Amino acid sequence: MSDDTLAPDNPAPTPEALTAPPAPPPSTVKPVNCPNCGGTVEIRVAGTTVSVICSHCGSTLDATSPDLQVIAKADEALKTPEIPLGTRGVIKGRTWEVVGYQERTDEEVTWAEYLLFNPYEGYAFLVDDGRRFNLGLLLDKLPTSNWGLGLSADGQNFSRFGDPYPVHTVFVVGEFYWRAAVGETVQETDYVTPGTMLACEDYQGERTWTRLDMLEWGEAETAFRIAKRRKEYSSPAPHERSPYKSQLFEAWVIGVIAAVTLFLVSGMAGSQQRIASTTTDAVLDGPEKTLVIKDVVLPPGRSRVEIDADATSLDNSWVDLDYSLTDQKTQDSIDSYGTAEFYSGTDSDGSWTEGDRKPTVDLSSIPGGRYDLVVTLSAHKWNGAGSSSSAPVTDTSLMGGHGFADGGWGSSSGGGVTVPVTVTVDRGGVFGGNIILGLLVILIWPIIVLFRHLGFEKRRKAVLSSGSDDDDSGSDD
Amino acid sequence: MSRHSLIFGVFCLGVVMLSVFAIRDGYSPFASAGARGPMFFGGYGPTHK
Repeated sequence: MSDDTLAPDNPAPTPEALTAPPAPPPSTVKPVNCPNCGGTVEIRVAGTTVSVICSHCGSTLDATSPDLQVIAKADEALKTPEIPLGTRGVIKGRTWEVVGYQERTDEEVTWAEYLLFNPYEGYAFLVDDGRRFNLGLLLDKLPTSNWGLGLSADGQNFSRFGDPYPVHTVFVVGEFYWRAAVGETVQETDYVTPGTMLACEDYQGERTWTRLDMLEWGEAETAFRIAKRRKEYSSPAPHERSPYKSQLFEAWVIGVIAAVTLFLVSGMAGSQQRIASTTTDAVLDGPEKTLVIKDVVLPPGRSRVEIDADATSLDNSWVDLDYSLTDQKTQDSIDSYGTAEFYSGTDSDGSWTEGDRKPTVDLSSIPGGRYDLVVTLSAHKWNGAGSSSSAPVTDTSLMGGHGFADGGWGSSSGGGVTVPVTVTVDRGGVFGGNIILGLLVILIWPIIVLFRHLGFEKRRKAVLSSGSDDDDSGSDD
Repeated sequence: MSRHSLIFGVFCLGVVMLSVFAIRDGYSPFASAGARGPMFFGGYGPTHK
C-alpha cells in the first residue's frame, strides 16, 4: 500500500522520488461556505469528518449535514496553529496532512494536538507539549494487564503514571471525526515506558487508547517545515527518556576502563628497593644527634625516595628527625623532617594511646646520582602539660660508609634513657596518593552525569510528588 | 558514542598518561618536602582530651 496520493507540499528530493516521481494528486479538498460568517471552509476528509470548526469565525459546523448547519457559534478571535491546517509532512515514512487542531489543558499544563490524516492509515495525532512532539496512534487492540504491575501493549510494558485527571479542550479549529468542541472534558490516565505513553481517555462511557511515541528532536519540525526547537530538559514529559542515561553508562564504562588501566600501570611500576638501613640510639632530653648515611645511590632519571624511621620503644616521648639528602657532586640538598612519637595514659574513659612510632617521609622526583642522607635526631620525654624544647645543636661529623656520627653522645651518655631508632631508605614504588587522585579525577565526570540523570528523573516525576501521595509509579526508566 | 563521552575518554587517557609519567619520575604532589621551620617547637604531646 502506498501513500502517493498524499504527498507533502514541498517534499525534499529523495532517491525514491527521483526514480518514481508521484503524480500530483487531484485535489480532494471540498470548499464550502460557513453559514455563520460566509467564509470559505475547506473539508479535506469529506465522508469521515463529523464536525468542522470554521477557521474564520470559530463556529462549529455539522459536516454531516449538506448545508453545514451551525452547531455552536464562537465569537472569540481564532489563533493560528504553528503548523497551518492543510500542511503535509512525512513522519516515520508516512505522509500526514494536518486537518484539525485543538488545545487541551489539565488545568496546570496546556498542550496542542494536531489531528493528522492519511487516507490509507486513517487518523493520527501530533501532540506538542511546547518542547517536543509525540506521534499518537489509536490502539486497535486493547492493552492487557501485566500481573497487576501495569499494562502490556505492542510487546511493551507500561506502568501507570499518576492518577486519572480531567483534560479540557480550550481551543479547537479544523475538522474532526468526532464532535469536537471547546469545553469538552475527558478523564485521562497515563501509562508510561521510556519513550512511549499510553493515554487512556474516558468520555461519556467510551474509552479510547492512544499510543504516543516521542519523536526525535527536530523530526516533526523538519517534517512540517517549522522552526526547530532548542533542546532543553527543564520540564521533561512523563515518558521522556533521560538523555543522560546512555551518557551515564558510557561515562562509567570509560571510567572503569581508565581506573583498571591506572591500577595495571601502577602494578607494573615495580616494588620498592631497599638502599640503606641503620639503627642508632637517641638519648631522651639529651643533645641532638647526627647520623649520616653515605652513598645513597639513585639510578639515572628521577626516583621516589622513602625514608622510614622506626622507634618502637617510644613511650610518652618523641623524636624529631630532620633529614637532608645531599648530592655528593653538587652539594644540593633536599630537606624534610618527621616526628616519631607515642603517648599513652588513662582517663575517665579508660586507657588511651596516641602517636606514630614509625613516621614515613616521601621525597618526590629525586634526580639520579650519589647522595648522603644526614639525619638529625632529637629525643624528648613528654612530662605532661609542659614539655621541653630541642636541646642546643652539637657538632656533628660525617663518617664513612653506612655508619653514623653521634656527636659525642653514646647510648648511655649522661645517664639518660636511650631510644633505639632505625632509619631505612627505599627507592621506587608508587605514591598511593597519585592513584587516589587519579581515581577521583576520573570519577568527576561520571558523578556529574549521574547527578544530571537523577535531576532529570526527579523533574520527570515532579508531577507525581506534587499530586497524590499514593502513587509512586513511573519508575520504570 | 556521544561527543561528551569521546571527550571524557580523551580526558581519561590524559589522566592515565600523566599517572604513567608520575610513576616513571617518582613524582607526587603530596610528597614531603621542606625542612622543619625554625619556630617548630612546642607542638608536641598528645592532643587527647
